[in-house]
Amino acid sequence: MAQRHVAVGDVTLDTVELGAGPPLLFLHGEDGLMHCRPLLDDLASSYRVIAPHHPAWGESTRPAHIGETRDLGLVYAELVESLEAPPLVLGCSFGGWVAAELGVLTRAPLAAIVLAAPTGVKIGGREDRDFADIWIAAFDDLPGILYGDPARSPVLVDRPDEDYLYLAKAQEATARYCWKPYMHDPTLAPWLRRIAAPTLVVAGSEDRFALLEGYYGRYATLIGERGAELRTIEGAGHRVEEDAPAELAAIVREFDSERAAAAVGASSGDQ
Amino acid sequence: MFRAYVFTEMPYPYLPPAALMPNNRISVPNSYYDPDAGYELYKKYFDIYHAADELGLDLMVNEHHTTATCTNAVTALSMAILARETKRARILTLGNPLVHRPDPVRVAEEMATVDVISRGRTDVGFVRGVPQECIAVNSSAVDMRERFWEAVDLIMKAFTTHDGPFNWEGTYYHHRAVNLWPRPYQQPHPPIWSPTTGAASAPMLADRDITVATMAVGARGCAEVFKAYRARCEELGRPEPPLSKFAYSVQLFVGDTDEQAFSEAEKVKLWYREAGRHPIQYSDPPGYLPPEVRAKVLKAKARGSIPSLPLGPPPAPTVAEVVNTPVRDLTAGGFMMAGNPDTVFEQMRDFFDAVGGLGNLLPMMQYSTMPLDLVVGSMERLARDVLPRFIAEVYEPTVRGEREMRVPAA
Repeated sequence: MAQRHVAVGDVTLDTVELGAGPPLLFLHGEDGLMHCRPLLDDLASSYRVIAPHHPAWGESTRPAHIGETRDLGLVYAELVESLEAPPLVLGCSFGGWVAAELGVLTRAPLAAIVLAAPTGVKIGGREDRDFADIWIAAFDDLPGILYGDPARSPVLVDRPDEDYLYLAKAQEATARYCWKPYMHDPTLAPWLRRIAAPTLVVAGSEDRFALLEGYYGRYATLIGERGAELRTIEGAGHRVEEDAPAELAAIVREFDSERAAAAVGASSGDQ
Repeated sequence: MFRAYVFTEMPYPYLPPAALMPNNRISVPNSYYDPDAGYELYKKYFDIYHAADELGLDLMVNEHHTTATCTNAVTALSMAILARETKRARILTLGNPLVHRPDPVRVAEEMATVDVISRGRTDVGFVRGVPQECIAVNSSAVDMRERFWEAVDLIMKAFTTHDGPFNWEGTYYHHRAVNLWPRPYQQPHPPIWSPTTGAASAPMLADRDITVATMAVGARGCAEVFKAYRARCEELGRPEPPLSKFAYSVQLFVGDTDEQAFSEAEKVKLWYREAGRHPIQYSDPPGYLPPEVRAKVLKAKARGSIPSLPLGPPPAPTVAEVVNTPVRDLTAGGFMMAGNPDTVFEQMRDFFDAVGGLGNLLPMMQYSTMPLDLVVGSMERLARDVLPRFIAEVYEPTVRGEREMRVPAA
């Protein structure tokens, strides 16, 4: 594992890199990279995993002009243009929203996109709540909202002080991008059809964060010209990457192989 | 001149007890609010202000949202009522929660209107707002300070521009034709106030010549805030700021006897119990506290024990301790003021000396179910038996340089 500072324009991304192989850009969710290590280690056996902290998380800088989630999409659009090969992009929760923005905005091709329990789109009506309100929920209720089995949520007691500081920064950063409108950009949905890369949406069967029935399936239908596929991981909650890292990594590899085979098939069909 | 701006938060005190209803804000259905009772309460609260005006006291109002602790949700409205219903009192709002208001120009319009209707009796406070407001008003706590100061700049420019519209394209606010009608009565603008409970924020208020108010932090905490303000003025090469630039808000009851006053002041002190009557997350929106401080809150939350915050620097009691501390003990450090007129005079004198002098006291005179006659009696004793003596024996001789302040023993 290496921790690097990657410059993208005037943003410095505090980035974890591990593994070797084709590039995989991992876009983290609300709590940053704190609880993602099992997934990243798994993926690192097949990919060169590039896991930046978004601007305002970790030690990544946030210049004043980075204020909206779309700005993060632009930062990563610039980053993928500098990579040696089109990356596979995996985004979780808020990172899924960032990945969707990236898919809409990028000028460089992406190998594929996997959105794990993504936020970012408002599907319900104005009096529907698409997502549980993590800022009005009791602290003790959050594991039940975010994890398939609350008993398996990360233990937050007796951590080193720097972990609490990391989380405090992460939560403030989340509020920066997600406070209002809550966890979505009202203008994103109609642009999702621009996503050109093969895209898969993954959700846990026990996701109690998305309150709207069929949220992720309906999200998937908005993506690309024909809609994206939805796969469900049994027993996993909203934090798919923490609840089911091995299953998620397997689905990523499987989808990557399928899309690679399809690409070969398509190109041989062209001949 | 020395001023006492009395106030009530206009509580709605008829919720079920905390044992049955642990929460009093944000999520309490307003079916618990009886409009008939509300009518009687507003009548009482405005009668208190009316009586204060007649007694020669000044008036303060403040606002909170979606809460039974304070039904004065829009201070511009109560100020407008007071502007017409009172004859002489100054009317202070402390204040306009700027970062929770989408349009600072609208705030400027409201304040200018009240200033004209009251014929220049308005004091305009700007506040960041308590954290619970972030949820009640759905206003992000992130970058509050930056939004606050841009809003202040925009309002001040609106108050003081008289040659036609100006343009404002800032980071947070955009206007193409700011041109206040009416403009304020007081020139160049009404006095501007802002509260802080920490010395770190005081220099920013001094930079802009804003009256600094602090609340319930005790004499030692107040002294630190005022000292930081005065030091900044000195650093800027400005003359010593007048005492009118300093204010302290405190719960106060003046009785005929100490015993009666301590007993009645317990009803004002109930504010502390009610202020903490809500789930912790309502007062912990990310961004409100600096990450270094909030990290400690997260650590405490993870351990399942949220420490109660002290009112001021050591040895200040915590909010939880205040609830169970007798009023008499709280008066010792200036956390409350209560007693017979002589006792309250001595408390005010000692506090005045301990903080290097101040020109404004902001006493919370009413809370819970305290009735009109009880509050008016306390205000009468304050206005007739305490303030004239305090002004004659302490405030004016000090201002004239004829009296040395007695610095309390460390």
